[in-house]
Amino acid sequence: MNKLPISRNEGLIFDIQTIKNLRLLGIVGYLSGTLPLSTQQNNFLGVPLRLLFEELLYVVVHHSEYYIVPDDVMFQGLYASLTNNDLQQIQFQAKMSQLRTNGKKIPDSAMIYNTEKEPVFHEIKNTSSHLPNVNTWNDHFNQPEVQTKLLFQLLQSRPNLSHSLADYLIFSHLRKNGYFITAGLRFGGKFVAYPGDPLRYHSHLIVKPVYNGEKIELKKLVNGGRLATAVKKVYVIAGLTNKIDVDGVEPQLELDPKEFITSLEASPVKTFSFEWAGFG
Amino acid sequence: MSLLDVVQTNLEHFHFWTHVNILDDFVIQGYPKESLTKNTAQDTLEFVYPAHISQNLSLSDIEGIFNRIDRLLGVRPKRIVIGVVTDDGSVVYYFAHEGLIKPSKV
Repeated sequence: MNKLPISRNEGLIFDIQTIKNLRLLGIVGYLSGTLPLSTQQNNFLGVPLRLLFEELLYVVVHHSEYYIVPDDVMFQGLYASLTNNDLQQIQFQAKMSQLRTNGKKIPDSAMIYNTEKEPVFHEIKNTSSHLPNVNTWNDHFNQPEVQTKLLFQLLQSRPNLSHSLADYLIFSHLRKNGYFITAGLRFGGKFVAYPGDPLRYHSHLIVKPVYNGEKIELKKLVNGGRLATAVKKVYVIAGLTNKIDVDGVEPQLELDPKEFITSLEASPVKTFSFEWAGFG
Repeated sequence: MSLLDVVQTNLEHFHFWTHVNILDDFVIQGYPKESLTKNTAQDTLEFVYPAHISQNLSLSDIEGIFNRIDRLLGVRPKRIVIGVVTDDGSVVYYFAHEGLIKPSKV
């Protein structure tokens, strides 16, 4: 099970095995399900596991075996964005891989959809439920072309894409340095980073992103530094060396969001760690 | 009194640092009375960058402090101290490390 179901533009995972597998990838998420009869009970939460946007993006970009499964609203958006040619191509791919799984030997060259030719498969609808919906499309979502469109849709749903991407790149930088990351509001930051699984370690870093080369008030540094030191952590400010210009890159982002994000990850993230010096 | 003078006086006469002097008119160097790093007895030279509480710093501003010390002395310190000055005469000190570090053991 490598499905990442989306609900209202957020990753929401009900499958225990998927939750376990994600944990092994260092993706923690947070359990958010409570009891229907006592919704005030919020100490012991269960499935679904909600993923931070950064976590969702990280899994999609770095672990291609996982794929997004949209909810109804997102599916309508996807369907509206498809051209006739896209549709034929998706159906062609689905049919071909179905044939392959049934044991037919099909060379790779035949798997490529040729727009010049007449469609090989003509779909004859014999049910009243032929209107496209999430269920009838269930087999199509793992196609790379569909994933590209879904990922672009997710990115478009962000209220401030440039900030979201900056947050993501900081998240990714921390993850690559071995840290496990959870939301950081409890300590006044964006993220809290742990040196290993949060069930085994106390957190080390309270991370505060700085966007677009902005300045941070010294008073906030003093605030954050003093609080972090008092709870045996470090206050980290992090930001990108290169500014992301989201407006100019929309076409690039639409064409291949994964590729675009991977290229952003090559540019360095600058971090500084703050602690109270122990005097004054 | 300039920020540099306020911090220098505070270090010398309130925290009893030794060999305190101003470097290139932007940062103060000196030896603390006791090592600021936990569990190490040896004296290490510290660099203190004075700033007023109302100031704002960007990441590149902070990087600039490291760069300037590097250019001046040919060594890039792992961390510096930022001496934050307020109008009421109090000065507070914070370590700024380049990169990610572990919290120091208490």
